[in-house]
Amino acid sequence: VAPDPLERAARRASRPLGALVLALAAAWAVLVVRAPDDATQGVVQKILYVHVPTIFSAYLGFLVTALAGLVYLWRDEERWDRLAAAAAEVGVLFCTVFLITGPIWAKGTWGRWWSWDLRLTLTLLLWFVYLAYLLLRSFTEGGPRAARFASVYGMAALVVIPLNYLAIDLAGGRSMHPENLGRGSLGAGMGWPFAAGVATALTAFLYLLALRLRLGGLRARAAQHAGLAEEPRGG
Amino acid sequence: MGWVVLCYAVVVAVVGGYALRLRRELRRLERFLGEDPLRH
Repeated sequence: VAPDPLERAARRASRPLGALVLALAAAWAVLVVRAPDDATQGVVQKILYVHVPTIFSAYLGFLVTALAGLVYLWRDEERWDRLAAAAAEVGVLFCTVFLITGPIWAKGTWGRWWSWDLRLTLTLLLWFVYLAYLLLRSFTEGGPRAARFASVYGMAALVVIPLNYLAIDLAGGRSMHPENLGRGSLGAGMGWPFAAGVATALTAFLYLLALRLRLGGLRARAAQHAGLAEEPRGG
Repeated sequence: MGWVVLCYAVVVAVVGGYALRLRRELRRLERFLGEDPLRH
């Protein structure tokens, strides 16, 4: 079976995306080093430039999972299910990075690694929800029934994202976590390193998604290959 | 400064490690299936 159009597109895009990630990461590193220290937090505030962009990539991954799941239910084509699974895995990776960088920043500013603040708790919930998605997929043997279930799960799980984003407003001023960034909330000289961080994280997401999507296609063909090889022995 | 360096080092290790793992498995499966990566 030949690679499907999605996999072919991922194959064409992965090398240029990889080069772009390296170039953006280099520019981002320079901008972060040259960015001014925050007047209140000092140098530890520079964690912002990696912490916030990673959750954007995680949100994008989970959004792609839901959309690809929707298209799978509509078109019943396996490639969309593979895209949903790939996006969820890369999304979980970025959510994991977010959950690692957050406590490091918290330790540097609050003096403690974790607080059961609504934003932090909902981010942990988001991570568990999508980790469960990946585990459920790995426990089943695949097939259309599992793919349909995963599609519905992937769409339903999306509800945690607005809850997570709005957690600080929902906490009604009791949250330890800083407010969501808005226009003008970054100081002078902090906009470009933040923008470079977002561009790098989103490009890294696309690069990893392209690699993971190719891998999904290859795994499917390898399984088919192994099945065909076993067939003569089985009868 | 130590927290910032630790943070960025962890990010590079996690994301870079995942990318390398994917690339390694891609190469292995492409060899197994006899697919030429430059053909497509």
